[in-house]
Amino acid sequence: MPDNLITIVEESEDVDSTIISRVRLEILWALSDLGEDGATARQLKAGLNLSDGVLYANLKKLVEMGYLRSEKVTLEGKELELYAITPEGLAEWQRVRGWLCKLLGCAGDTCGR
Amino acid sequence: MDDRSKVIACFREAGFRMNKDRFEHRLIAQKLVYLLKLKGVEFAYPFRLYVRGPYSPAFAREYYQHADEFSRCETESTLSPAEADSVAELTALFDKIPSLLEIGATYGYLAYEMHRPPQQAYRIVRRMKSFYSNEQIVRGVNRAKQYLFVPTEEEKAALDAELGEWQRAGIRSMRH
Repeated sequence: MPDNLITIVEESEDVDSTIISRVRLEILWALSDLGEDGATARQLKAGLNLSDGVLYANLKKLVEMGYLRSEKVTLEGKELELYAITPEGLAEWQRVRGWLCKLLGCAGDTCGR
Repeated sequence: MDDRSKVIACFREAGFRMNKDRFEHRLIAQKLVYLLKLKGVEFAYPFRLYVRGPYSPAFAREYYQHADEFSRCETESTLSPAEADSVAELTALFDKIPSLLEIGATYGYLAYEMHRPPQQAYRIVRRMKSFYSNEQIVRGVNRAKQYLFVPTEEEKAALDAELGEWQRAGIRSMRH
């Protein structure tokens, strides 16, 4: 048992457990460095190898939670849905990542991504 | 010359006046700079592979924080003849078409930066950019190869030997 049992248990109370699912973590991870530029739904679907149903259900949930925002954009005359991480989403992502790193015993507070 | 001035000089050379509020323009800007960097134009912006393809958060901060400079597309900086040639060739091949640039830059990253074998790089591009048609993918990959391929001395000699024979045959046939 690592020395930081108390820290991990205490910090777990601050972590939003609804984002701890493989797909939601992958989406937040994929968008965390892209800031306002974000990515289109089709880039997320192909890049993360997700089905339409799984992708859209999770995107919808993350938008409802205030962690993502969406807007319509146009590319070569085609209308696409763009998703970008919000400041709240980024803060939550950093909190979860830090907590997971402690849990997994990575070096430092967060893994270098 | 700082990176931002050099990017603006490249965009001016390419006839690209960037509006950061347009998604298409942000995509074109990122891929133009990345492909130029791969071609040897020096930029300090680090690029990594994301779901969008090669992308630099540091460069993105520049066009958000200095949007006016990018939209005016004016700079005192000038490009070297080699840099201007790289921009001209890139513009001629990709015609600032976002889909071709996205495909070409992604292929470039995989093949020329990660040094994946060409077939493997092509397969990954097809999967990562599966929302584009096969025809678009082939065109984007071919243009990236055309832009980035630099033959080694050995390859040049082999090409000369191969093409020289054809050239001589052509000249001979004209004599008859």
